Amino acid sequence: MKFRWQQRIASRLAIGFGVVAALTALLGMIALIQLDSLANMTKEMYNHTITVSRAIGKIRTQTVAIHQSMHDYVLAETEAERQAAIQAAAEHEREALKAFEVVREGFAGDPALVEQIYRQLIDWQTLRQEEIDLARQGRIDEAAEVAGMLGAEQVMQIQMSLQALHDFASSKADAFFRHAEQARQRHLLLLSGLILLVFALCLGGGYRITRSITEPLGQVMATIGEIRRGSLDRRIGLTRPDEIGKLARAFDEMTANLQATMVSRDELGAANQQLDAANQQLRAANQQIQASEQQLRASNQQLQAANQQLRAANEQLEAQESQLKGLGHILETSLNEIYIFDAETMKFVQVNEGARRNSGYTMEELSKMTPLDIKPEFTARSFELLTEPLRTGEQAIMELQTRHRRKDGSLYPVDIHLQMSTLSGRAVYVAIIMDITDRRRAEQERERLMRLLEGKNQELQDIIYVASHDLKTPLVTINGFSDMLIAHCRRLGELLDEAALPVEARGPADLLLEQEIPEDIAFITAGARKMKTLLDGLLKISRIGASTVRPERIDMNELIRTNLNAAAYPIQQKGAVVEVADGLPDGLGDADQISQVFSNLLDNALKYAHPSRPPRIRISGRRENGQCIYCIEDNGIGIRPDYFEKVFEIFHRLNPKDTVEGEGLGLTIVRRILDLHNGKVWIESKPEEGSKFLFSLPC
Amino acid sequence: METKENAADLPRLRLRDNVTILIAEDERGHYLLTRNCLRQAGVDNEVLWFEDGQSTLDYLGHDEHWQDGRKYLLLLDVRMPKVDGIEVLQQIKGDPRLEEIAVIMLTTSDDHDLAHRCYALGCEAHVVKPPGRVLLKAIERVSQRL
Repeated sequence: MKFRWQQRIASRLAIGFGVVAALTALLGMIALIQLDSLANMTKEMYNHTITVSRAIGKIRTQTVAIHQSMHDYVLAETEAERQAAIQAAAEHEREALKAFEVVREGFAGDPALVEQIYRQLIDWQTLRQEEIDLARQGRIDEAAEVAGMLGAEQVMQIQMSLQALHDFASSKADAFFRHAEQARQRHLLLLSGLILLVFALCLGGGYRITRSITEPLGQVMATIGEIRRGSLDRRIGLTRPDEIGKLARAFDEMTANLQATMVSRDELGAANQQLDAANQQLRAANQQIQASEQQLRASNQQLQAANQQLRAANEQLEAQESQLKGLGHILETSLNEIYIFDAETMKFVQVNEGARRNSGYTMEELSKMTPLDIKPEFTARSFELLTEPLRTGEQAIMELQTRHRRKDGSLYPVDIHLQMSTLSGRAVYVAIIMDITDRRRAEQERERLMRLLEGKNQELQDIIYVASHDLKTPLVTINGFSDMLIAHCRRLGELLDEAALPVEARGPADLLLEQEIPEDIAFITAGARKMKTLLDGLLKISRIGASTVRPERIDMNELIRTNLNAAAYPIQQKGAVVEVADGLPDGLGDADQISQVFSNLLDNALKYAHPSRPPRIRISGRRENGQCIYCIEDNGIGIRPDYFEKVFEIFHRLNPKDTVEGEGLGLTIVRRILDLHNGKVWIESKPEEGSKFLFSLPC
Repeated sequence: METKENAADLPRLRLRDNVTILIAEDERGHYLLTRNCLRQAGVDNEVLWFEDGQSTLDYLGHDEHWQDGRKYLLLLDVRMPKVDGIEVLQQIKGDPRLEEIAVIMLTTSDDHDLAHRCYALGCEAHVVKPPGRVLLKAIERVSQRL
């Protein structure tokens, strides 16, 4: 279906949306009307089923009540009762009529039926009046009959009419429900149809409107695509009056213009290419210029670097020069004698101040001399032989000691360093000479002192040896004759016994012989014993001399084992536990003397045990800084730090009055032995905790 | 010092009658102590005392002192003026005529080096003073071969 849209797109959209809005409004209105009819029907139903039905019920009740009141009237015996019954009947009647008005107003059915009931009610009124009249005339039985028969019949009829009325109301309600259901279904159908219709209309309208926009747009787009691909002669050719039409026309116009300009564009392209080529040439030329500029810069830098090197070399040269000047000055003023002599002519070329001063020659004199003139211990031949290794290059420098002769003829010992060098292109010898007169003197003095010391030392040892020996001789005498004296006293006692002295003389004699003399002798022998101990000690010390040290590699593990075996008895007696660490290092020393060291230290450890615990002794060793260090550790009484040095003194004992036995020499001997071994002994200890005796030996 | 030795504790010692005991000792006290020790042990052999080494050697050099199978036991003090004990020992043991003399060195020193030297020179025994049980034991042992 071809349809030409004459309206603008905006109007088209407005029409589309307007139609949708109108249809929606229509749909809403129909729904509202249906809702209203539904509400009316509901109200109707309410009037019938509730109000009317209730009124009918009321009429029924009142009718029965009237009938009852009338019955009461007929049967009443007094006038008062009759009046009350009539009033009640009238009351009930009023109520019934009131309800009847409701029914009359609200009943939706046939009004004739309502009126029929009304007539029946009025008829009954007449009948009741008749009854009342009969009763007033005293015709009670007749009245009762009228009431009983006619009244009851009247009531029955009224009741039946009311029932019909009620039935109608009920049927009316049922009809309403049926009607309502039908209406609902009808409305539903109607609304659904309407919605579908509106939907279809909207869909169709929307499609039409969209198509009316996209179709020409598509056409435009396709054409533009072709133009873009180069078909500049293509036109859209839309004649529509709307916006798209306008757009298409404007585009066509633009395409035409573009087509016109494209022709000149090709020409421009050619010109452009020419320009590019020219540009490239320019760029190449530019690069060449840059390259040559870089080269220039590089060569400039090279020049600068060369310049700097030159300057540095210059500075170095200057520095060397000044250094040389400085060095020259130092050499010139050095106290060492420096001689430079020609390697061929052997004549002195240069000699420093120190040499001139010490030798006593001037430079002028020396320039005519050779080394042989100042070295009386050499001949030309022997000097040539001596310097041979320098000439062949076998040796760079040689050292020798000889004597130099001064100008005044005196000789002095010298230490010479001789080497070859060049001076102004000539091979020369450079001799640096040290006058070692002082050193020689010092060495000689040292040797003399050493000999003296050795002599003194030997002397001292001899003195100690001899003294202790000779001092022992009188000791033996003292001891021996003390014993003799005791024996003699005993003998004297026996003689006195035999002589039977008087009692007064015996008392003092016995006192002397048995108490005082033995006591005196005890003092003598104790003193002698002490003296012997000291002398033995001195002897022992004097025997440890440097000459007796015969160093060898000692198997320490073996040495300790031997020592412990030897000390097995005291160890057992003290209840001591001795532990020896594995792998003690082998030290260098005299096995006998080192054994003595161990033995003494072990003795000490046992001797100075703590009274409250059995001794625990641990022997260990290690290598440290090229030395072997051994340690004997105990848990004994320990040593106060201020005694660490004192205990090594000769005849020192920790507790001189103590029960501890000993001559007070053990540690002195230990130190002396280690001194002779270039070793050391020292203590680490805490009083009451124990001590460590450490000593070092060369490894 | 050694334990006190009473005469009663000392061992009894008997030497053959042809044995003369020579004591070379510069110290008279020591000589007396030595002799006393011998006497207390019951030794009643002849005892001669020399105050130095030289007089000892002189005595032994005389032929008349070597008659009728005389045997000598020399108790020789080491330290003596003029010729000391070591030298006397050397001369005796270096002299074939004298070498059978039993020599017991007596010394105040327990110097082992000295003792070794004496034994090396051929002494029969080396005893540290004072004279007592040890000396007597040594004499007893040495006299076996006299």
